Amino acid sequence: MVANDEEVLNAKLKKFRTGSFRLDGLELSIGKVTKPSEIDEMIEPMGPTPKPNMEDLRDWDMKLLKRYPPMYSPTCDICCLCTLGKCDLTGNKRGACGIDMKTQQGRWSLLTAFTGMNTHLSHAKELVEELIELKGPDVPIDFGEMTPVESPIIRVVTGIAPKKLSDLVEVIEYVESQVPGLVAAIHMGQEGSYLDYESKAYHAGMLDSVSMATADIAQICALDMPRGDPNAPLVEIGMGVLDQTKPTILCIGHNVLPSIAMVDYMREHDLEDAVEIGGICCTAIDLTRYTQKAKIVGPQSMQIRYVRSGFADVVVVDEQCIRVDMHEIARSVKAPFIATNTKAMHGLPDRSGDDIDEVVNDLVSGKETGVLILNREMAGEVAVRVALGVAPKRQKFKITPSEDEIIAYAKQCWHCGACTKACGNSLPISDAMYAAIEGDFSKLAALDDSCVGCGKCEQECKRFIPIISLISKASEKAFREHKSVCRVGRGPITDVEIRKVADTWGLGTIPGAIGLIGCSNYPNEHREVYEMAEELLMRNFIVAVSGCGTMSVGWYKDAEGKTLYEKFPGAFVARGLCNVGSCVSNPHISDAGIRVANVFARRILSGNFQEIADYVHNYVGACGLVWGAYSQKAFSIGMSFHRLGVPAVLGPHSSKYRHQYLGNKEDLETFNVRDIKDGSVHNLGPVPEHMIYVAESKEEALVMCAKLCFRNNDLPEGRQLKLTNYIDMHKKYYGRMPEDLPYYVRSEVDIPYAAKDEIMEILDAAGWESKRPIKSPTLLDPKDLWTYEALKQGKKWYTV
Amino acid sequence: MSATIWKLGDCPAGGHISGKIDGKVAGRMIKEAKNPLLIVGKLACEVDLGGKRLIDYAIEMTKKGIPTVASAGSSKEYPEDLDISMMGAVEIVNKLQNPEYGLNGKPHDLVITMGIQYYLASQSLATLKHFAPHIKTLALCARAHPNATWAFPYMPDYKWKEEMDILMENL
Repeated sequence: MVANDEEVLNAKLKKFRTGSFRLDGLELSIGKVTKPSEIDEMIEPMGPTPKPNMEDLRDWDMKLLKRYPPMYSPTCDICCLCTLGKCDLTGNKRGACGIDMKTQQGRWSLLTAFTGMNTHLSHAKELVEELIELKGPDVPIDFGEMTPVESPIIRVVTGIAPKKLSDLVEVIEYVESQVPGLVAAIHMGQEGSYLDYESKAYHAGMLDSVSMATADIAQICALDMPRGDPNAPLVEIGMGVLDQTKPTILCIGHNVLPSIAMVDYMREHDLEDAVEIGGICCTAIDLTRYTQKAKIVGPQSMQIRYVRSGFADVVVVDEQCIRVDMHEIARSVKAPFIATNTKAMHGLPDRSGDDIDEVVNDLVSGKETGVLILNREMAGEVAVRVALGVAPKRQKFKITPSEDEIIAYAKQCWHCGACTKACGNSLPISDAMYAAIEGDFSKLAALDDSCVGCGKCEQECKRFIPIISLISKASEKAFREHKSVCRVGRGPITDVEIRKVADTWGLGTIPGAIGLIGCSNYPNEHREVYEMAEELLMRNFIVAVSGCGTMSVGWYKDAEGKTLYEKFPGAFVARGLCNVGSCVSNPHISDAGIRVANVFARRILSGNFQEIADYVHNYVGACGLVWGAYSQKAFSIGMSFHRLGVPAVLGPHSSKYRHQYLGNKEDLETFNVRDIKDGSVHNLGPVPEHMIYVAESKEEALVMCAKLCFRNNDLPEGRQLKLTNYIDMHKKYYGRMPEDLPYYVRSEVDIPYAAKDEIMEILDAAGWESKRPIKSPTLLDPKDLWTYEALKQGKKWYTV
Repeated sequence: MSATIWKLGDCPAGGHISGKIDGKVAGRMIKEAKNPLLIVGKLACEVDLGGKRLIDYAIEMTKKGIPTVASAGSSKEYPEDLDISMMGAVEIVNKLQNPEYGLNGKPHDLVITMGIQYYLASQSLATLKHFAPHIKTLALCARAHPNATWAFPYMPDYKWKEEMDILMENL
């Protein structure tokens, strides 16, 4: 009898020779041995804060918040969250409960981050539970030899090293345990400090990254998506990718399981070539990680335009970032609508328990325009069968107007300007209407690339002009023919890639890694994201992308018809364009920084958040570039990066998130660091200068990204390279040398040779003095660095 | 008189909507300010008011000795010999919360904004409204800004040009 944790060990030695000793045919039977338990495998000692509560990392948060105090920009002057109000908080007055405007803004930070975090938590929980049901609890969490640390952020926060799918349940239970305290803090009469609210928002952000990582590693391992493959295939993207000669299914949202069920049904019934399936938003990205027969139609902003154009025969929604009026939009083009998630049931009849034939017939016949189906497999079958049944009847029915109708609509326009007032980007719709009256649709078409597809213009139009449909029609040819390519989400960045790049990146000779992530609420043309990515790649940055940013980067081609994904490798290297995947793949980007701490600096990961964040902040030159963020999830994702010490540059619409974390370089003491070796205090400049920075233009964003990749640990040649990029971009976009060079040149060896005279002139004029560099900067008291403490205690462990 | 709210959804609490102002009063106000500060955004380079760009007015104002922050690359349009500071709109607004801060070393009593995207300007003016009570703000944008202390009302571009010309005459 051999127990579960035992195995029988037998060994045979055919031949053994050493010197004069010779042995042939040795057979050895040792018998039962006890296998090492999982705890023994977890050789790395546990850090000080496994599964931290919201007070456990407060000291770290306060260190960051002292450097980068929040600057608040309220979008509303009042608080109306309880019946003691409404309370006018203008001028930082206090409301009836005693809260002042600043604290109220901190409360908004927590509320926003908490909402985003829970959205991913719920998503992760559903994925893990359903995948366990579908594939079993023992699916290995295994990313292969190249990536021995399966999920750095999960290890760092929880101390858990999940080995199989069911191990993720414990991770989810930990995150859930943090929910009551966080949400309770939002209630009136609780927290009284804006800084503590920000600390809690940080906590929510960190939990968000754990939730996202849980979701993504579950789906990668259970659904066999690419596991850190830099050569993941290219997949079609664009408004024209779905073959309109076939029945088409459009999936919108973030939870890929219903779409997977459709693909599985098509595979089982040999329908893969008979029905087209594509998606909008992250569901599309994740579906193409499962099958490259699926296609990416576009980002969230394309929903109205695509569906009204009649291209989709069936519209299936799952969760997150779906237009909540999508049933109505689908109904307007006679496309049956299927909701599949309890979080978004849209008032539809629940047909989950009904006979499938009956449900299919009801949708095909038009008896029902939309249904709720919570059974994944059933939703998959119904969607495919309805697409097949309804396509011949619909004949791609659309509600985009003809050219004559555009002119007629344009003539109805009063040019009152209400549409422009409502438009987030204040687009000149009235001017386009004037031109359209004359039959010139070019101005309408030109709006297409800057339109975020929100539809507020139509809501305000007193003449009920379907403005978005007019824009779609005016740009119809480009719209129908638009096809491009995007690299399939590769999943994690591997430990081997980090090992190869860590020295050059960690020490600053790669100018930085930019995480180009987020949604599509862009301030100007969609194309700007592509242009920013191209410039950064050409300047030798590593560019990692995810979510809708992934699509925007792949949306355009150069003069030779090539996309950036075709021009640059998919690896995590200088000039690499590395698509990790969907929203829930974002932690793979921040994990790259954690992997540097582990692979390069041998820092303990498990339960050691503060030390790892301190390392990432001081050593890893990385910056987020989130040009179109709008959702609560995007906010909480941002907070997850910031608690880890990674700064981000946001697009101007993100000023409506109400807060930024801005450093003040004139207050240099706030940027003091200590030397790990002896605890001595030093000042190496305001590095990185800001934590959340809202830029007004893409030019400002690029210059700031270059600057926010400076790190205290840059070697002189690294700082030279970073300064070269910064100066070059500054001169290109601002027309002059930067004024703040004296802050960033630590000693003469930092000065780029090509501009040495010019820079020395600036330094001399500013009375610059060189600073003594240190090799091991930290924001912490060195005794709080757990890795060093563990070494002192004589602990030994293996790193990857 | 209060300015009409231009951007839909802008709902400041009662009694705090900015005062409507014209070019003549704005010009005098700037002239009489002890230490005004001009913040010029990138959009100023793109707004053409019929033969004269908004940035040209900004440059003229700077030439009259008003300390100037040129944000987001608007500096590129400035003559090299003209003394300006280059920083982001959000950076200068952040610093202005400190009542002792001044670009020229002295605290500012009036902050003038022009050429910044509407919503970013609106958020920036909200920061100053709530957290910089020592500062009055003047928005020289043709889309009324309720978060400014004073703002031009919503007006078409030709009228905007007229008001800017009058402002310059009174500066």
